Amino acid sequence: MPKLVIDGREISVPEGTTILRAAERLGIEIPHLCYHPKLPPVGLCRLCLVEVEKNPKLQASCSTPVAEGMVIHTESERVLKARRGVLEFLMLNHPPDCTICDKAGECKPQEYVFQCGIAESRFIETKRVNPPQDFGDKLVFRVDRCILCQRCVQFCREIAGMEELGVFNRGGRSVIGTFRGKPVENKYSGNMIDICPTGAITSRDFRFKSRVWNLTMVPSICPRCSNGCNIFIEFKDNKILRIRPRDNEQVNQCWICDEGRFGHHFVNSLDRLTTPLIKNGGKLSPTSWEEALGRAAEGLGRVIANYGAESLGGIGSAWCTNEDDYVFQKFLREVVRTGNIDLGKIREEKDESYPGNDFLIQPEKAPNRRGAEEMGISPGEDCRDREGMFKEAAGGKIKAFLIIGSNPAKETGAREALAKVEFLVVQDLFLTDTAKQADVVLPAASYAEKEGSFTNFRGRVQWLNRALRPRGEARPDWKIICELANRMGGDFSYPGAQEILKEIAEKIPAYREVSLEKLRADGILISTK
Amino acid sequence: MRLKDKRLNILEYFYIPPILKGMGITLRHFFSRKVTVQYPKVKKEIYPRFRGAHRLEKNEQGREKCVACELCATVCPSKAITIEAAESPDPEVEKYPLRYEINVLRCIFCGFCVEACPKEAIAMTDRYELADYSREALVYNKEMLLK
Repeated sequence: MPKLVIDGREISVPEGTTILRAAERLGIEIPHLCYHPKLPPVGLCRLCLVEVEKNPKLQASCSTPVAEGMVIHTESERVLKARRGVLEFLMLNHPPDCTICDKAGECKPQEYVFQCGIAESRFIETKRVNPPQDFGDKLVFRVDRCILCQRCVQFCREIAGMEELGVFNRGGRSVIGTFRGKPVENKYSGNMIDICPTGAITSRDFRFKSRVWNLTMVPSICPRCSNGCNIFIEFKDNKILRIRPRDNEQVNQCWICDEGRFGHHFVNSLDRLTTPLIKNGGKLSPTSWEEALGRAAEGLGRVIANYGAESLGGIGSAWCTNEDDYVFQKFLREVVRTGNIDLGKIREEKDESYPGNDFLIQPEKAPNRRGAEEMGISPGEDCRDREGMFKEAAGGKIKAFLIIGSNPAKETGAREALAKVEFLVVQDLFLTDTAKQADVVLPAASYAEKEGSFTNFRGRVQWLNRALRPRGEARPDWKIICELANRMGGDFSYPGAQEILKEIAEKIPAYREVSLEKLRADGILISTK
Repeated sequence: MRLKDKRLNILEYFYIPPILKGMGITLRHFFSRKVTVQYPKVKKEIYPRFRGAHRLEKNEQGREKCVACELCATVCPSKAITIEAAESPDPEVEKYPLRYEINVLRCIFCGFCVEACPKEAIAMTDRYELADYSREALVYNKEMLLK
């Protein structure tokens, strides 16, 4: 372990560590633009120059490994002068258009220029003008803002697994571009919005939606597949405006896929259910919670009284949190006393468009299949699974269904089976085909509007924080089930999802280690079966 | 300790001299130069740096100078400014305010928005008679501000 001194402070780091990383350990931030911890150092921007004693020239700290006895200065006069000069060169062709740039506010060059106190450019010549380029419908590329750090080129090559960008021409005419002007198509291209240190690559989806300092960030978990990537939900006026990755070395490092990044619009959709609906004379009409819950409890109770608990089936959801699913199965097992419980069908999609595209994306397009199963969303002994339930419903043995967060009406035979049942209660975000057939439809809160936990496909349990107020009168699924259970003779009095989590930790052996603090940090890997 | 009332002398007892003294002041002002202005028939002179209702400035093409950077909305201490940005239909301009609203009911006329604007796109006029019949009419939209 070489020992070295940075700014008068001693530190020893493993062999091969770069000066920049060693300084980071001491809490010293050396300004840098091209270096990114997840990409190989290229030493292009020259902003991270530091003074190494007994070395005639300043060294690029991002690519110089430490050596025994090095004495490094990161804030000496020589370094500051060089940094100022480099920054001035980098800004030569960079337009001063922070006023309209979406990056402004989280832009590194902007920050560094502000720190250096450079107010005016000495450059009187006309700025370089390169022809505009189209990067496809996810990204907006503003070639004049580019400082040629090549992070995007590196990202495509090293992380996304599809070499789509390159540097064309030489010297002052160098320009980033796509090969033959093809649009960028890799499944992780949105990450280039984050890693681009300037506003050269910005998001088409978020374009001009808001200045970044007006957004509120809430840590959450991406619901688009079973990988459980850590995200920040960034919102304004109770509307999600963008999703950005949150660092978690165990799950997604600092990346997310484009589906997760741009696939949040369903939360803000105007088609969301906002009030409970009940069927009156074959037509669904809005009503109050009181009436809808009363109708649901009465309808389910009637079926149980007339045909027995075995005539009721429940379909849980891999889109719901562990807490929702736990309360759901507890309601069916302890209040209704039926074991006809199964999980709604999960869309599976294996994308093989290019090798390496699956480094985050999982084929299972629901966040919590594993968690739901472990919560007990599976048929009890001598009880029917999903297909069995629909078969029996078609045969007239199952008379009522309680379906949360899934749309089985798309499956073969299920639509006919659902049409035959006497009573159908559906809890969902949207008026799905299944909900259209229901007697009572209850509006549920989306993942951004409730607290809870997801278990990813590897068994990592992670916590979702509430970001938004639920749309309209929507409520979290567990709350709806509790209300329903209390109307049917149960006693479900959970003040919040956190108390349900505590009960899960007590009741389910695999989850005994689970606690809110651990879930909020990096999540916790439950013991595998 | 007991306080004793000051005994009034005979002149003070009849209140005549104080009344005459007060009348004297009134009469003196009656004939001196008047300070009141007969508003609204007569209006006071407005000083050049007076901060009245806002105006959005136009460029040579007659379009708003504003590029919707939202610095005015950010600096506004009473959160009176709402801006919704969009891609401009003008190919020469990238970003423009689709919606620009100033809620004059919230505005405290501090002028920070004018100071913050990097494009000199917002100014304050000498218009100060802003009363209206509804609250809605006092949320000035872009068209009203551009007039």
